[in-house]
Amino acid sequence: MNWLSSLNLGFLSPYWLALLPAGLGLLVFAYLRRGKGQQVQVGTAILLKALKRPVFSRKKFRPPLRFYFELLLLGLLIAGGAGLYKQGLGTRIGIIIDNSLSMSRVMKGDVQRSDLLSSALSEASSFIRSLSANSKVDIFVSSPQLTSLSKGFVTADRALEDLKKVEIAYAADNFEAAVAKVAGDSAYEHIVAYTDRRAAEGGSGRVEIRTIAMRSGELTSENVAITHLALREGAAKNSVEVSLAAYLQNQSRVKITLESVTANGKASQSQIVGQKSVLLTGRARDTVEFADLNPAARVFRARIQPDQESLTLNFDSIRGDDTAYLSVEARGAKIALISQFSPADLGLGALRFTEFAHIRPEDFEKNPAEINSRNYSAAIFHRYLPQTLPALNSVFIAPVANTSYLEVGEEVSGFELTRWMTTHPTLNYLNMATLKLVKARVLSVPPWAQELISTTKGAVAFAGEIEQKKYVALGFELLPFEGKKSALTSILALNIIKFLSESGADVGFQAVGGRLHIPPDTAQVFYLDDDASLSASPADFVARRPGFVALSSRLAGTTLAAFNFFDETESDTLTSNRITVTEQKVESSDRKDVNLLSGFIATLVAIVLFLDLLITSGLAGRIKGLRGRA
Amino acid sequence: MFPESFTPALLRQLELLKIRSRRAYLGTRQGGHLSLKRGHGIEFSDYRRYELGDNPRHIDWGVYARSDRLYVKTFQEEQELSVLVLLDTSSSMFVPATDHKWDRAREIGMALAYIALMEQDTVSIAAPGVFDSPFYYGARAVHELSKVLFADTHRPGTDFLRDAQRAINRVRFPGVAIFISDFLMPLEDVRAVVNVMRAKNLDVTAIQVLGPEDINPLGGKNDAIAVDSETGEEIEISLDNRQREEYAYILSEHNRRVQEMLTSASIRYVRAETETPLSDFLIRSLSTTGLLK
Repeated sequence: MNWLSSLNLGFLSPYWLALLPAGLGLLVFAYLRRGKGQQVQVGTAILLKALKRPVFSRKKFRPPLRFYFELLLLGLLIAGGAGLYKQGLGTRIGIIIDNSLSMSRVMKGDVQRSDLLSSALSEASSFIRSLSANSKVDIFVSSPQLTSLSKGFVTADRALEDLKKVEIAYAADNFEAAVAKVAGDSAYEHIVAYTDRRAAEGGSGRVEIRTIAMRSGELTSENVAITHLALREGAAKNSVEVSLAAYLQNQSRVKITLESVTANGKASQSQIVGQKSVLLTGRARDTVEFADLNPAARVFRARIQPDQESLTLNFDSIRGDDTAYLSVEARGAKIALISQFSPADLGLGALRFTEFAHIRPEDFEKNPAEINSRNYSAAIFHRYLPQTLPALNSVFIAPVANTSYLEVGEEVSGFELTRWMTTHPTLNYLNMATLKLVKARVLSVPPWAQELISTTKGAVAFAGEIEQKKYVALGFELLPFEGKKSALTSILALNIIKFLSESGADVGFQAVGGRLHIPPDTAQVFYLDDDASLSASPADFVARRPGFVALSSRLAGTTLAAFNFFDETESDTLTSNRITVTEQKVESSDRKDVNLLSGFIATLVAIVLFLDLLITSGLAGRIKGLRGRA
Repeated sequence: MFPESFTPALLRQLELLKIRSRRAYLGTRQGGHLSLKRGHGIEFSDYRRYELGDNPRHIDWGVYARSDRLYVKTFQEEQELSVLVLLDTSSSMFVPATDHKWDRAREIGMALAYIALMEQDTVSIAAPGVFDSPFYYGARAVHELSKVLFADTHRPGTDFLRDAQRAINRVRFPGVAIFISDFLMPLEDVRAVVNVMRAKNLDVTAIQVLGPEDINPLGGKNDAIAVDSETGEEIEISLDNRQREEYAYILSEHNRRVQEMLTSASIRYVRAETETPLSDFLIRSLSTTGLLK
């Protein structure tokens, strides 16, 4: 029956099908009461029953050929009324592939380690092949941001080629927003989205969510991930902390291997400096410390793997979060601080792995565009706002004057916090009850941003993204950074810096996707052990996956920068968040498809009528065995 | 009480007729038919040796002169004939009412009973499941018999075969039996009734009464649901000319087989169509069978 499912037939008004049994019943009844429908009492029917053909006992319903013609007509007419259509025949179709990390899940025991993404691509290929020749397809991937691989509508053949370009992205799940964005475009008559998440509601309208499940039919499987890697420098010896997160249904033992890594040309050399084993269960979080490490070792790689094979576990279904990298050779993000105060004055020197470039506002105003070309990963505007929105990830702390892009209100006090965007990464580890604000300025939230903190007087913090740049604005003073002395504001400051620079500001790695600080004398930038990653220009290099990035300097040899990725929603294989797609109603041209099949049905009806006329009426009595009841 | 078809002219014609039996039967009283009983009569039967006690007036002296032995003449007595009229009371005789088969069967039965009663024969009419008349004798019984026969309360019997066999078994004196039916029943049923009659040593005449609907079913209709009056079975039928021809053939074949079966059992057979005037049937058709003279 595979060919039948590949037809993708459907009905616009399936409730019409309820007429089919009623119609069939009426038809049979009519045949049972054939003729004039009059009952005539006869003395005896023994002679009538001896007639050869045209006597039909009511108890044995043996309809003539014409009955089947009429039944076929009835079925066709009801199918036409129900709006029989061939799904996916729309001429312009958007296909969205969820390529977030969770789609790399595999099942234990699968020798080929075919992941969910492969299944999704396979299904998408089958779907594209089932489309009519005049269909146009646009292929999207949802992560790290919605991107059209086809760059517009292409033919089915070209779309199949584009599907081959889809690969796992190390980025947070952006699927819901991606689907909503495509659905908001009326150019797409039908949208098919492939993901490992289930739709909160069944597919409706133009958007059809197709959930890709594991072969066993289960969406959940087990996983263990490295969430964090940190170097603790001591007086004589260093130590590395490896933080783990488990998503297990059963208890499992995990082996952690720490290697010291050095670059040897474009390849890496590693040496195991420690191995430990830890027992994890359920949603356990654990940190394993490798102490007494040689202070000369500055680059590390940590790997986890099952300590012993277990036949009962789907353990470690995601491999992408099993390895983490750490390097203190290359400095992390360099952040521009535009303030009257120096980084030291503001306590920013305590952030050991983040380098700050201090620019006074009057110097900044001399050449505002220079900040964009200096390869800063982010900018902190402290009590100062530039005239135009900088083309750089920026945070505006305690602004004092209005600009064209940000309205700043009067300073207010005696307010209470009313709203707290708990899900935003800048507010991680914080909650409304712990943050106490005495004074703040109310900010007007631009349409591209979302309120982070609201008070009874108005919004005092927002964050947003426009033209692929992130901005955070705080209506209150956050600095100086006081570390443990003021844990709450320090956490907020670290969260903001991490959000903007996409790096672990206090450790030796950056988040995947972040901008790498490239020294001016850098000749080449590439992933270690991956020649293909070599970019034409060091400035063009973008870290798309975890690993060591080698910065080959003309003067100082090669240094390694580390990139890691961990996202709880992607690694948590025990939880499957449902998707809610709010689709804007867009006039669909599906009607064309319905009309196509309506025309087909009308043709069939005409053919059946003609055959009925020919066989059961016109030639009745002339073709033996095909006599009708006309 | 006679129906309109019994005109005075017809009655007069019937009074001239007499039911004839092909065999002699013992009667219970003096009548107009030669009986098996030897005794007084006008019809010479045989000689037998004179025995003590015989009336000397019956000695044939001529034989004595030629043979020197005493012989006496014996004569066949003339006694009444027992006549049984058996009416088919199955539903097919009543349906459709427009065919008047039941009416025609009763008229024929009444006419034959009238003939018999006028000849001083004993008559009984049996309509199994409907009524069973006693044996009537003499012309005065005509009105009483007609009252029973033409009552308006007659309804079809439920099991004609069973009831007919019971009615026949009640016959004590064999004689002539007239079986009036449409014979639109399985041949086995006809044979079953006839066999019981033959076992009773009855001289049987079968009269088949057919109505217009039996000959041309459904009247002018081509399509209808035919409801069998006897079984209640509903049958969808659609008849065109070809099927009507086929039906006519089936009917004639059925009648032929009935007639063959009856003839082989030495039973007279005659068909009476309800549309034929009663007098024509009685005087012309029935007389040809030899039942009437």
